[in-house]
Amino acid sequence: MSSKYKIRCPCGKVVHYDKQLDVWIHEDDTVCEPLASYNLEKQTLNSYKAFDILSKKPDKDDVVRIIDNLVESTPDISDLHNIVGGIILPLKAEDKLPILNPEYLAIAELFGGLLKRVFNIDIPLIKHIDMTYNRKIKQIIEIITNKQEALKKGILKEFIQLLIKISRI
Amino acid sequence: MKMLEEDIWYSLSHKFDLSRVTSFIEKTAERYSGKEIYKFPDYLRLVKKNYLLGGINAVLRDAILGLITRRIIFSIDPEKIEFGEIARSLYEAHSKIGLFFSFWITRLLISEELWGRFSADYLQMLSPALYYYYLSYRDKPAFLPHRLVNILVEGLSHYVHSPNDELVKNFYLGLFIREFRRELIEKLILRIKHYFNEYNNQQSNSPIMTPYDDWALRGLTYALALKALEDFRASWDLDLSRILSARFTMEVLTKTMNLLAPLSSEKLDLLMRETLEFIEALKSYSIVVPSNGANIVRISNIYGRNPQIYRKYRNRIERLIAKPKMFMVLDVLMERIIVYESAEAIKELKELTKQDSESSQRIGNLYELVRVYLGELEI
Repeated sequence: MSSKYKIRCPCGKVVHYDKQLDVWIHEDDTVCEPLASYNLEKQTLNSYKAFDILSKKPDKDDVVRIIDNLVESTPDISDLHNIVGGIILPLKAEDKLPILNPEYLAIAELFGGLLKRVFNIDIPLIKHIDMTYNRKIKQIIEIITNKQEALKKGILKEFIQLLIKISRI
Repeated sequence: MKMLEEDIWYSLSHKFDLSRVTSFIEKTAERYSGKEIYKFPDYLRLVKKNYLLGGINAVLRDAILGLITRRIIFSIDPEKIEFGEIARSLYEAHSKIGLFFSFWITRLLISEELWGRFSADYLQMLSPALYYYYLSYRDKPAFLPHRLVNILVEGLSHYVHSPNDELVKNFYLGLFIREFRRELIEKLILRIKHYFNEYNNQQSNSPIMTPYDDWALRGLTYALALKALEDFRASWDLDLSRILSARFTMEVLTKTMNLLAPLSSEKLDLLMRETLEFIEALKSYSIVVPSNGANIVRISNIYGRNPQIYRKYRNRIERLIAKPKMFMVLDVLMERIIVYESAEAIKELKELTKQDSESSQRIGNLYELVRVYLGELEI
């Protein structure tokens, strides 16, 4: 994988892929639950290997393809860690596409809303939002929120919040 | 005289004798009254250089210097002194005293209808006065003729360096001449827009999360603060996508709140409420506002400039943004009391004396000092 992109685990640490072991590991060799779950269960993701996109610069099409697969397959709970890992990690990649940067999207949405409410100003902050992408995100929110058990996992709650916020843009 | 001088400044840090301090203020003011005022800037330099005090002791020192300045100003006739040179010289020696002097002289020239007798070039030296007209905008608004506003704004070039001078000029013009406000908001936005375009062209390959730019930040803050005072519906085609980052956004919001605090309680209230909600929402992305020096200064300013709104959101502000430094708050309150007798600031200072804290004794000293001179206010 190109060192140009830093890939982060949901816990925030930078990860890299060890070819020999065929696992993703933290740069400091520690482990955490989401990453361990991903490494254990990654092969179960059926038709599209989400983490494959980590080997190149992730783009919007990659995310749409992952979401398409998820919508079609309606994964069971055991796959949810994969979904989370498969989407959050690419989203956290330090790429230059605003559409793939959740923090950017969140700030843009919140800041734009604040300016509107307080100062009565419309500032077009982001201009090219793909509606298909947005619709797909809504679908995945529905699927995941229907899995009540999954909500017990803190990271899923966070992920759902993230998707809800992104989908509002 | 030297003994008394040293004794007074050094004693501020461990004991406070009100009668000795007031006697010192009177004697010093007498020494620099009338024509002797030309020597006052040197005296200020000497005090600043020789008596380095910090925290509340520095506030007390500046309050004493401010009260001395008040007494001196009472003794002068603006038609008989070179007030422009003195204003400039005082500003260089001790900026706060320079601002104070310029404000009082400007107010005197307006009330006595004397300002028309002086050339525009000369009056420009009083430009620092605009700061206190801004600070007193909400709780003690004062009349400022439009032509004089234009003159004072032009004079800002002597005090504020390029490229910020243009933004500051637009802000003051828009603040004090309401008819120009809309046009100046648009002008500020156009300048920022132009800047963004240039920035985008130059750095098309830069990452999205770039460091905020102080100039653009300042311009946007001024535009938003002016906009907050009006109800102009606006659609600004402003693409912030190149510089929008958590840091930039927080800077815009905290800076705008700081700027709005002396201008409008209603708008500060609204902005504060929304900003705190915004910050709470960002916490879900692990983005937090840094409790850095700039935010501590801004929060301290907001407290000192608008205690009512600060108190309303105190807990959330301190939890989400920063805790104010008491000496900074006191500095702002004393400034407002000494320069334009703000009743709100006096009330807040009195409230602070009731607190059970390490500083309560020192705050009590400040309040005692203010009370002595309060009876002599003649504005």
